[in-house]
Amino acid sequence: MSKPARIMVVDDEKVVRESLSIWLQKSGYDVVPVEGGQQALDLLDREEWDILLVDLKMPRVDGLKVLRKTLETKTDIPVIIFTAYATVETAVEAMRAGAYDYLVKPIDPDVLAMKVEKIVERQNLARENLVLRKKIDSLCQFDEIIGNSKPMQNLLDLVGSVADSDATVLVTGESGTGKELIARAIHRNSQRRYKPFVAVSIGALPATLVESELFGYEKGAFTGADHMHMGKFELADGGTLFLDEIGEMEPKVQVDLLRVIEENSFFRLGGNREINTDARVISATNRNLKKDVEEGIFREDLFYRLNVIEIHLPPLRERGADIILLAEHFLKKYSAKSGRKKEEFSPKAIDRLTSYNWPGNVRELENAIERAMVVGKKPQVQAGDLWLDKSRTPFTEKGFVSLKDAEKRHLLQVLGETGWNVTRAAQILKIDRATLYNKLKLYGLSRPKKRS
Amino acid sequence: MPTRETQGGLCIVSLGETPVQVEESVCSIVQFCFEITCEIVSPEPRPDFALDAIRNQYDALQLLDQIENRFPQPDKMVLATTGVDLFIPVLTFVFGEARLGGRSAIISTFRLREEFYGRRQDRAILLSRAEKAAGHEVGHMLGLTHCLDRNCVMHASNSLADTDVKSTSLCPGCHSRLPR
Repeated sequence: MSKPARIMVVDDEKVVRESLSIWLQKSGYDVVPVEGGQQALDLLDREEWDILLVDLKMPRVDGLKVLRKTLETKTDIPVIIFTAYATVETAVEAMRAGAYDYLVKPIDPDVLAMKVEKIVERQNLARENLVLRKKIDSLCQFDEIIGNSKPMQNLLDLVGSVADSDATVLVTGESGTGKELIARAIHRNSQRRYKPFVAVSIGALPATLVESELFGYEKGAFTGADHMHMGKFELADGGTLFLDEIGEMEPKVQVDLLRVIEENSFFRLGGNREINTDARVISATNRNLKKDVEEGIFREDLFYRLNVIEIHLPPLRERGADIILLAEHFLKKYSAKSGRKKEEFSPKAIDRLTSYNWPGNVRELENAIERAMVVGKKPQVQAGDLWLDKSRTPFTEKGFVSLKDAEKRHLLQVLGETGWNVTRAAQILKIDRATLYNKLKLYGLSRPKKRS
Repeated sequence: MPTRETQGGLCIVSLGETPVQVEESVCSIVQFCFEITCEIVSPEPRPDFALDAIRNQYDALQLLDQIENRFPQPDKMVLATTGVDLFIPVLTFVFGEARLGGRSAIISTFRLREEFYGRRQDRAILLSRAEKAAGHEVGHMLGLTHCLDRNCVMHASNSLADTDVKSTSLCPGCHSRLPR
């Protein structure tokens, strides 16, 4: 149970302050009766208080003075002024000075109880909110994004530096590379993190629905619009709006979207009231938008508006040792989920993972690991458990890989076979250890983390 | 009936007349809910000394002082019942008042009557409300504070609606906090 609210009851009349204190104590509050304004101010500095109940008329330091002094330093303490000598003037004065409320003695017990309960409830919510914000802050790292490879580290640096600006971001990359994850990482590391992150997949919506989803509609805007519906731009106000598969957007909606981005305001469908929005737009595509612009499929002006900062996600096959890091991450994830404990990959499985082309990128890798968890019988994941499309292995694919990629893969293959024994790997490769280390550094390769 | 032998029990005294004799019904409910012995003692006169002529109400705190003087046995709890309207200085009225963890309490039937709200007299409703008010104040004497459970007799009654919603018994949480 949380700590009871601490209430100071200030009244020069003993019977009033004591009866009120006892009455409040019966509701479980921690109440301290105080006999004068000066004593109240002294105690205010020395101890923590949640609520002040202060009589207006007291000799020397009166209720208004206590109120003003309190709010000078502790602006968030609600001060309720009460008096038996209520006048409009004192009431106005007290409220102007920042009193939470002004009550006339004798006070209806129901009214007083409700006022105090309301304050306590609000304070508890504020505290809870603070705890949750701290929790969000602690999540605001790049925990979800796994990758030590050079391209990923560069990308995370970029994410960190663009997070706090309000510039639009276009995340590009092949399907399955984790574009939404990057958008979420930008949101979580921005000042907007306490506000909503709203994701819309343009490609998943029928073209006719995109407008109403983005901008909302008024009741009666079209047949079937039997209630007002808020659009994603409204829901994401103050936060981030993530528009996935932006390349699928119809030209008509492109015009509307351009207008919202330029003017920060829009109309609901069928509405005549302009609605302001402060949503940061992050969009993503796996298409070559620039080519779409050249071909006239995508508006050039919108392209430049969306593309203030471009973040390109490398395909998994270019991420070297990240493949193993990610595979291990998914192994851990699905071990925990399925309750089937598998600790590692066999050397042949590692070889299989690193030599595959991964056309479906991280999503394909995740699926492959999940499937391997189900089909595999041994504690180690075997190469045979990984059902990969063999036609996608590097040397049978249509285009040849670069010499650099081939070397990288070959290094990973040998290191996988030798269990990352650099001396043995160097012997096999017929190069010296220093050269091997240099190559590892060059390609950003490192030994997969050992599990305890 | 199990009893709390560690205590001298409770005595119930009426101060002046109440419209309906509530003492017996209050006595049995207190015995049942709190498992304490309970006796009804001879009535005392209407406590006119505590009348505030301007408010035309009786000062509940003065009455508690008076009860403690009149029944000085330190191990005995006293619950007074009265038909007069009660107040404490800062509030417009109270249904009852008790010393938290102390040995005196008082309840008033004045605002528990249907007639007070312009409705027809109803003896059964009055008795039920008086039982709840009494149980509540006895709970305070035994050190219980207000409970968030709207059905528990220790839920705060700041309006008649609160009283009518709750039951005459303690919730398990409050019951477990009773002194053993």
